Amino acid sequence: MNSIPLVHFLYLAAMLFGVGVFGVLARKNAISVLMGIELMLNAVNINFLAFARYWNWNSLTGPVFVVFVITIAAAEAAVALAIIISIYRHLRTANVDDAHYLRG
Amino acid sequence: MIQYQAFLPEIWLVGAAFLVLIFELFYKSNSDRGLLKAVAVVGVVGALLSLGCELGCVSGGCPVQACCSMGTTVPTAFGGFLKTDALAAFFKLIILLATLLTLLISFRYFKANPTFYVAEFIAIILFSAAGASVLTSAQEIITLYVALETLTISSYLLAAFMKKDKSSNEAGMKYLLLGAFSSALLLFGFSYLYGFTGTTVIADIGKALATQVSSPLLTLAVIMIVAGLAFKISLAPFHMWTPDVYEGSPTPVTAFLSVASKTAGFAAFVRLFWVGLSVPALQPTWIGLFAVLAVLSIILGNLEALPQRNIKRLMAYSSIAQAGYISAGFLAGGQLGLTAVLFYLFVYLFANMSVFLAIAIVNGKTGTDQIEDYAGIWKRSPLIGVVLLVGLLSLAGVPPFAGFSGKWYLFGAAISKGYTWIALVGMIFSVVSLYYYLQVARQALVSEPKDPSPIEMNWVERAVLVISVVFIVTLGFWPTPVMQMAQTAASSLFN
Amino acid sequence: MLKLEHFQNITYTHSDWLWLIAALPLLGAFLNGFLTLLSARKVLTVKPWVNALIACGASIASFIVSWEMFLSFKKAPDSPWVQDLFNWVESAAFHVNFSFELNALSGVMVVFITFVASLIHLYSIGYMKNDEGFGRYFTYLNLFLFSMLVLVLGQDLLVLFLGWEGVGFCSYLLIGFWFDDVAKAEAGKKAIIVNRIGDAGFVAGLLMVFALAGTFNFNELLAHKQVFTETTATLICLFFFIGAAGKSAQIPLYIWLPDAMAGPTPVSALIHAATMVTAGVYLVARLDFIYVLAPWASTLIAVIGVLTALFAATIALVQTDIKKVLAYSTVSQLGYMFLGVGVTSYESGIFHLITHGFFKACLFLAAGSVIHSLRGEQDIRKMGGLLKHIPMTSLGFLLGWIAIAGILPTCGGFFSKDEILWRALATPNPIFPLLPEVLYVIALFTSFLTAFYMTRLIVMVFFGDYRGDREVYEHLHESPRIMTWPVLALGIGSMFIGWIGVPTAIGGADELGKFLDPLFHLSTLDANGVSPKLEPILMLLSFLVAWAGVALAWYAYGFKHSVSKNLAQTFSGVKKVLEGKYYVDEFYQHTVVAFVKAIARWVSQWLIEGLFVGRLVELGVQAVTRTAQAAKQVQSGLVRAYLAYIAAGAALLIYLFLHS
Repeated sequence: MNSIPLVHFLYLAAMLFGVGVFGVLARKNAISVLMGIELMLNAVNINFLAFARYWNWNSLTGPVFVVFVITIAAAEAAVALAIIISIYRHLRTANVDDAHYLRG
Repeated sequence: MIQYQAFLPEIWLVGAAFLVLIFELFYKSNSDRGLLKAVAVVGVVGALLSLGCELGCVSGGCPVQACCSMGTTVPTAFGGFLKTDALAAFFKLIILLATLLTLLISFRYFKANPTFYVAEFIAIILFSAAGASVLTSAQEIITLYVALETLTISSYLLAAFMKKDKSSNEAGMKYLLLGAFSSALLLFGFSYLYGFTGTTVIADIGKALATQVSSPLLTLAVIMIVAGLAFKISLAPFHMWTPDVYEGSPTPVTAFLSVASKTAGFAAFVRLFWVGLSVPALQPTWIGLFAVLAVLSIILGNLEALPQRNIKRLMAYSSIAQAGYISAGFLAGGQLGLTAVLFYLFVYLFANMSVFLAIAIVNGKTGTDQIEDYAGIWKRSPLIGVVLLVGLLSLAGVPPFAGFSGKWYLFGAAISKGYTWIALVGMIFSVVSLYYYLQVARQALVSEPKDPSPIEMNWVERAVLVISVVFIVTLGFWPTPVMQMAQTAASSLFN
Repeated sequence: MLKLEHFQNITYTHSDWLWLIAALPLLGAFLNGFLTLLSARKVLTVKPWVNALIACGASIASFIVSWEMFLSFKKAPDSPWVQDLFNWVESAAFHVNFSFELNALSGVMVVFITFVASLIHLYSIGYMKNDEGFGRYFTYLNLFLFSMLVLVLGQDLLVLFLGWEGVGFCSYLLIGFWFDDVAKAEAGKKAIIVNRIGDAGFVAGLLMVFALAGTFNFNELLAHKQVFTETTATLICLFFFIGAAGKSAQIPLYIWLPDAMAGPTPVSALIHAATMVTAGVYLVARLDFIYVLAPWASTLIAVIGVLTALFAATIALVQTDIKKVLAYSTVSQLGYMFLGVGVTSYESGIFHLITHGFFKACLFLAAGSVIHSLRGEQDIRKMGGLLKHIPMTSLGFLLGWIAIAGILPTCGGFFSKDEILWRALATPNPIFPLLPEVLYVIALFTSFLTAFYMTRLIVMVFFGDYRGDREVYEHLHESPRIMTWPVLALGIGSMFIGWIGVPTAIGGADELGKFLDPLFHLSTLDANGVSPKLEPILMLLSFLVAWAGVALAWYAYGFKHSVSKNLAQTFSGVKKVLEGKYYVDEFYQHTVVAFVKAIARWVSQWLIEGLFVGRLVELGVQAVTRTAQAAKQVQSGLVRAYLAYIAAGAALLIYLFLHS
């Protein structure tokens, strides 16, 4: 595993982040948008772990950050699903483009 | 060793929140939840008292020696990850006062909306206040991130709290998607920051970066962080959520977002940038970034506020512009600039909160937030007329109100560091802002009411409004006491 | 807890209680204002005696405190007491401490002001009895006293200015106290507008002082006085004199004071005779160290002072309203004071300020009592023979008359006026060598006129036969004791107050002069080639001149009415001009006011309305609204668009900052 240089991880993460951003921007379904965001967060996690390995495997700072990110992403997802369900009751759709009552 | 004094206010807040949730179980569904409100207020007041005690101990001026078990040392906890210095304490003061006023506004809101889930609402407000409060003491980016998310995830819920209301739902959804997206940007920036320095402690980041030369990747990380955090304080062009969410959310939530959330965002900015990223390789970049964002916010916020018909939406654009003004002081930095930022936030707290309280009271009576329905409010409640006039003129920065001295310090700091053009833009657009602020004041004071029935309020609300007005006027004439506090707070950052 | 011991300990030992002098009236004003507001809202009914007790108590307590402090200060008058109250303004280069200073000058002034004010407060209880605005009146009066004390005690020009504006504001409120009457409200407006002109000068002076010295503190200014060259000092002095002329009713800004008599008479006594109008004199005396650097400015002050004295005295000759006579007399006496400070003899100006405060307050209060007895009649042609009917009031008025006319060599006005005359003659003028003699002659002639019009007044009011309405005559009665006693107290006071400054030339101690002298060590007193031995002879001369005025007036108005009629017929043209007050009001109306109005009309209608609002602002508004509308379109309400903006914003920033 030591043979894989840091940059490769970073490229992977950057690509994953890019895919996530694309997903966020391109998808109309709220759930899909959320999944895009999850991808972005996972890219961040890869970054953290790669850097953690690069600096010092023993310090745990990077992995701990990753654990927190995963936890918070879970909390976020829970809240998000609740809100999306609630909005689905009103609009009968999860298409984010249909929610544009507030504007101007 | 963990010195619990470092997070005593948060203990109060979280404790009160849990108590509220527990007591709720004993209530029948339709009863008046007076005890819950009392517990919440006690929690915030307790937090304020413990904060005051802590401040007194650190400065050596606490009259009750028993509460100063550790003398004048600044309390720290969790290996230095939390440290409640004077700066943190000043931010906490603003956040806690804002929380207290938010609770007051929400009590009024419950009356107008009886189906509201009182306990949950109060508890979530307290949780998010606790998040904001921890954020101000965070000395490390994991802590900072967790605190920030505690604040924002709670805010998503608060924004979407009116389940039956379409616009509240929409506000919550928009806030959530945009907030999560910008959080991801912020985190991506954080990950690179960690990659460059190998540490997450802000002060160590500063030391590690001190010798670094500028690199594109580092600049990228800084831009990501700025973009992520600028979203929280609604700086243009990351401000688009603000008007929609402010309009759709319940009024107490709007008030909370506009003051507490924004203050927390600035706390994160100050700590992260003036301690961690204040290095020669990066400083010019992010100061330039902020200059662009500040000017954009001042221009866009003020311009878009002009055609608004809904007062909450108007206040949203106004808060974007205000964030721009504050950023002008922030980017000037140093003792002078940060003092100005702190002072202005304090003034902004009273002006914005009193206006939102007035909005909530009016909405409770008339059920509308349209500016045209504010016609002749003066005749229906003279105090609300005065509050709207004084609060809005203070936001516009008209002498002799506190907003004027606040802007004076902000722009003075910007000019002293050579950002005269930002100050100039700020001043010109303050004049523009006068137009829409006065529009509301004129509607309230000059026009004839359609329905002349008086608007009632209880004595607490009356007292809070009167105190706010007195504060705004007094601080305009005599800013020195608060200025001195702000100076002490700002200088604690540089020690 | 405030205890008496605290008081005694501390007032005798140090200055920590200085704030109390000003704070007591402020507290009184707050209490009374609060009670009045509550009673206006029918929350509770406040008995008038409560208002009176609070206001008079505050004033008298303030007097007692200042008297105690003054006594202990007098033991070591060389070291002023300074109390820093709080940091008022703090900005990078601009720092103002709100601090009070008790020195010889402010000490004397504070005692004088609180004493006179206390008596007038007491008098007001009787005068304002049964008035609907009783509580409001006492609120304003206490507020005025507070502002006046801040003005005098302030150790800083800006603090002084705060008091300055405060007294002006209270004066406005009190002149227009009966604002239901349009004429009275107009008088209040006139006072504040004319004072604004003066204040513009004051502010210009403030700005100039700050630009040159970078501070407003008197002591720091004194220490840095080398920054003022003769030119800048002259400019500053002239600016401040414009302010002083506004407040102290000097040519050309005196026109508001006679109209200010619309207010209640005790107000005329306190504000428009004894205290506020002397603020200008105090200002010049306080800034003596700048004024001595500017001989041109000082000369101008002296000339304007003496001309005002003469001018107002001539108008007073023909006035028929009892309060108007006294008002013009006040203007004239203020002219004397400015003559005194103008010839850099600041002690004599302050001395006259104090004696004048006593006798003019006495005269006004007595006049108020007369008006009270006659149910509001103010025309002296409808009075006469009142001595028999209202003996106490008459006695008070006569004491005041003796003092102002200077016909008894012991009384107040005599010594102070004579001191000014003597200094005017004895101080050489560096610019016009002959000026001292001219000043002296005019001032002496004015003292003749003073004796004349005052004697005319008392003869027409108190002697001869009653000429007014029968019905009023039936109900003629002496005023209550709460009114007559303060009058008598002030009358007797004005008899003896002159003793504090008996000149050394006739064997006096000149206590006041010696007490104040260290403060004014910069004044350039020098005998103008006039032997000091001349002073007693000149005193005798002015004594005789005063008696001549009295005798002539008494003859013309008391014994031979034909003489006064003949006089009036012979000089009918002059009389008409005098009765028209030299038509100065009309002159201003047709020149200054008309000019300003024309400009205002041009500016508002053509420049602002037509060009600025019509074209430029309209254009700006158009541009702004268009942009705002466009920006509104961007705010589409679509969350994906917002997401895209965030991404685009970040991308744009990355592009901008990675390329540069």
